[in-house]
Amino acid sequence: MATQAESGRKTQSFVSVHAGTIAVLAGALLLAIVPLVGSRYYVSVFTQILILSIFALSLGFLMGFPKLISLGHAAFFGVGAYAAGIFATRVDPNVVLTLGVALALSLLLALVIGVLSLRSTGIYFLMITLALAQLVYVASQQWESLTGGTNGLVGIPRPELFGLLRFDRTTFFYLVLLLAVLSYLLFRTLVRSPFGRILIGIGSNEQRMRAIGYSPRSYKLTAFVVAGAVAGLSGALWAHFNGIVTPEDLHWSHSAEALIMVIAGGAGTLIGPMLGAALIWLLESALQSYTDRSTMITGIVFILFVFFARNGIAGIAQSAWERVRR
Amino acid sequence: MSALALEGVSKYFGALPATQDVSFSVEVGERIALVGPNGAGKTTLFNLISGEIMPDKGVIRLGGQDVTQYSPDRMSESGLGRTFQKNSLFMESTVYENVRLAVQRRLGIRLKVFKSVDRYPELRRETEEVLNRVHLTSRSEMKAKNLSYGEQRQLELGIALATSPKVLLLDEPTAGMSAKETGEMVTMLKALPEDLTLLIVEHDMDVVMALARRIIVLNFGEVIADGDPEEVRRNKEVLAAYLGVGADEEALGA
Repeated sequence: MATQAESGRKTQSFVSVHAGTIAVLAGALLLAIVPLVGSRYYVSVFTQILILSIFALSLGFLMGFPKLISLGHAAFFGVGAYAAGIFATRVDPNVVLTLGVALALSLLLALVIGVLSLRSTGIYFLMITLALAQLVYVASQQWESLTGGTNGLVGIPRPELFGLLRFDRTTFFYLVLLLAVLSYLLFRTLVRSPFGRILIGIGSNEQRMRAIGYSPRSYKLTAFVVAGAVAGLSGALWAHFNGIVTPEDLHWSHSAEALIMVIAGGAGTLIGPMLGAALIWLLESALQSYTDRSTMITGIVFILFVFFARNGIAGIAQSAWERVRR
Repeated sequence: MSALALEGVSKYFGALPATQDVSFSVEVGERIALVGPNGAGKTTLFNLISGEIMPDKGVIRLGGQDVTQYSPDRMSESGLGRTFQKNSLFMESTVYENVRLAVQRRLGIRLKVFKSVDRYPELRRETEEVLNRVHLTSRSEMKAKNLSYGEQRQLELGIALATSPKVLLLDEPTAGMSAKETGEMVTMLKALPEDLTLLIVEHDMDVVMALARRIIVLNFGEVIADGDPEEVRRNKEVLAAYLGVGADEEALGA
């Protein structure tokens, strides 16, 4: 009896089971040579893309598995950015501490917002996350003594590591690359774990999950908090990279942009949102030098994905791969 | 001690009584069919027992324990399983994964985050055992949405069984099935362990007679008859509910 199920699983080759990890590691290796062969400009480009890909990945985890569509994800990004920025400016620019503080505070905020918003589902959940995140946005504008108000928090020093290393453009790039790979591996481990399978079940059929003895809210809250903390981490990296944090970093439109990245890349996968981040960032910044209408064009690309490639870049890649194998 | 007992359970939707003062007690291992015309309140009663909705009055006991206010997940943990009239599956997941989710809950493999779910041998063993019981071993790697309708009903049962309930509520297990599929489902249900208490809502009288030795008849949310098939068949109220007053008693048994 057991043989059928087992043989079914065995026929899945190593490559198809680990396709995502292989692609991410291969991509990371390729990116690792960018500072050796490319100009400083490209190092900056890929640093920004990688930071945003961590941000999109954390939202993609929520949207793809427990199917939580939040429009407030930028709040965690922004709080992480401010936390790291303020800590680096006023206390210590040690990267372990700044990232640690950012992680802790965004985790705490995610816990609060999660408890309040996860009482609702669907569109109501989305609206509540949006509203709560906008509260955080307003707070970031008003609390001038701490955040610098609308001018933003400026003069964030470059991070360092216990006096051993002061990060420059290149070493910071490698730090971001490492954290992007680790974030991917974190979410991948979660998704494949028993806990992740429960999240997928909740995303697929919450009523049935309850009927077989699961209380969905605690699992959703756990996922929400992990995703919020990782978003905070990406925000902290953003603050260090730019040397400045402004309230715009946690405006709701930043959440919407992450949402577009996830959908363009492919919700339901982990690699998709990361690729989506690259696509949308490249599109926006490439177009910005030619036209003022880059946002409109991004919007059109988004609509094209929704109509013609529901599963995003990852979906296109997957069907291409299947065609090649046949 | 009874496996399941209802004491004066009532539920109103606005002014409409969906369930009125329903009382009955089910012994361990008993197999009971719940019948009645459409809209008689059978599914509402299931939803009350399984905790999907809360009664306005009355007490529900599971194994002697008052579970009236329990949520569906607590009911499941307390040993109540149910299937749904309309298939409620994880359509994008494989058959194996559907069952595994329920087994995971029973074995308490929940907030485990480090090891891949494939690396729990006890999870695999138990899942395969359940798949075997509902004759879906050969379908284990298929997505639930790609199963035939009858197979989806089998999976519906498999998920419920995988939680190892003490009391199982089956909401029209053979609805929409072909004669062959119905026969297979009845075989599967007959093979269930003897100490598993079964409550079945079913319209197919052949299935009712094959499985149940006690029948409870509901009409307008009230119990109008409760007894063995012969008693129920002779009950005037039952005949009236099904066929109108004065109908020929032969008709119901057919």
